[in-house]
Amino acid sequence: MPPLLEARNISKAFGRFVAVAGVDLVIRKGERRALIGPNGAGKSTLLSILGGQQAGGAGGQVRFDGDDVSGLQPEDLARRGVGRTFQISRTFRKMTVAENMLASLLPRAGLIYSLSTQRLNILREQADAILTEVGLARRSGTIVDEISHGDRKRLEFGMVLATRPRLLLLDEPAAGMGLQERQELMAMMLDQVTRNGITLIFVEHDIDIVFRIADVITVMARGRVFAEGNPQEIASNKDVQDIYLGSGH
Amino acid sequence: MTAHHRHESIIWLGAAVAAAVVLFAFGPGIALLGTEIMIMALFACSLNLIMSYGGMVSFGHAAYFGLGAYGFALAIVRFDVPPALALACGPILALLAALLFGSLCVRLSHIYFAMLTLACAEITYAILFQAYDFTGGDTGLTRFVAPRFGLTPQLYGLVVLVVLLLSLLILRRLVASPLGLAIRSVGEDPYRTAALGYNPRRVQLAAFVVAGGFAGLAGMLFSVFHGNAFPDYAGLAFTLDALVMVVIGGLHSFVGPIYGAIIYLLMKTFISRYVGEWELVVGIVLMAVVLGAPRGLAGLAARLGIPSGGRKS
Repeated sequence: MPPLLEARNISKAFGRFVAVAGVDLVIRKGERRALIGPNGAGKSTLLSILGGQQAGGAGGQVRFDGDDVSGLQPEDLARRGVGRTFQISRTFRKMTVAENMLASLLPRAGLIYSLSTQRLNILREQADAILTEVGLARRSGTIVDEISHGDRKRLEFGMVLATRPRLLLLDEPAAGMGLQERQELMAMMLDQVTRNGITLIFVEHDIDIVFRIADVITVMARGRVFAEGNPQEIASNKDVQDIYLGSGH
Repeated sequence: MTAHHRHESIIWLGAAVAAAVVLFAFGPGIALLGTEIMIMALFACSLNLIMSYGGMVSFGHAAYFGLGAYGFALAIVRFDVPPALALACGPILALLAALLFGSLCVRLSHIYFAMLTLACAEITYAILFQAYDFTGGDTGLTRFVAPRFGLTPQLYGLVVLVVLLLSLLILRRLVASPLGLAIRSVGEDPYRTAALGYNPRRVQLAAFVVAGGFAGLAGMLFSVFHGNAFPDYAGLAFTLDALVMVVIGGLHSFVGPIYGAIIYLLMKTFISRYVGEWELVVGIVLMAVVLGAPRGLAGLAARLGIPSGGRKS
């Protein structure tokens, strides 16, 4: 299968600190790739480069679906089908859950500059459907500031889903959640990713989740790719065990 | 129509009738004050669009108010445009200036955005002040039309009331539209909107231009009201007046700036009769509102069940 994303020699420095140093990443269509590594390994920076948020000043080349997308702005990448969630979820906190979803549907529907409230009402059905998919139908009228951390994670995922991404970049989707809530959230996300045929790159510290979901795991350390392989290969890699996984795997 | 909308419409209608009654019931002095309040309310509402909904604090919004006044005045004085047509020139000039300055300002955010808006307004003020042969310089443009086109204070007040209501209706529809939702979203988190496929700068520019146009409309009404145009209309003092009105009235509320304009101009008019330093009283009121009622008078009104046109839909 041809690669959906091909990143070559990606690098990014903040002053004298090199966050990402010459990383290559090739992601096939439909693949679920996990990026793991200790804090400061460059995982989130790499996601931000791929999502366009840190594209400025980054070195290397990124090709998405055959096109050179190096240096493109996040909005351009989003329109091409690159969706992104953040380590600390970014939602519109003073708006209702339903409004968040409607706002996420506007770009795809080409209605950002529309003045027609009727056309907005037509989108409400789609918004409700996605909210149901991500388990937030009951919270539809609630201000986002008043919902739980877990629900905000669900909402952010739903918002990205509304843009109909082909490649989804998830940055620690289950961070800061209890075990059961984490498992339910990941099951829901995985179900959506599978049903919508979305290619996935995710950063996650929970190794159980990583090994359950990922087809391929990339281990990063100090801005570089330290190891790469399927879960069995990574689990049996002595060096990875020593520096990151411990002896449990 | 939902019960909420019906309730809100009745309150709007009641407020409009009450304003009309005030204009005609208490003599020309009150009619003049009421008219000035309505014009400044429109100006403050235009600032509120970019501030409360678009998340952009402008220190130079008076530039568009001033250009609204000068667009009208210059069209008559320098280009011999019939006054009825010149009315449109004010808002159009303000709109074009907002497009020009806005495309520069929205490249930055937070304090840098605010400073750029201030710089643009200072440039506008300097041009109006120094281009003596064209703008009349510090003496402004006067006696080019009779104040209020010769209408009685009451009648002109009624015209302004109708323009204000129509403007509020348009702004209300805009805020409830997809573009309004986009403006609010970008105002809250431009980073997230970009990741969803928005071009945040373009949305901010759209809001900026609309706000500039309505500020220009208010400036034009003000110029007709007094029959003149002065560089001060584009000065920092006018921007600060509008900022105070928005904050006292209540950020994140659609009608807040109207409450703010009423209270601010009533204080200015009546307290200044008894206290020389009336700004001191305004300062104390502003401090009390910011510390005690951050949602302003509209927030207090909402607690009493009076719709404030807040963000929640």
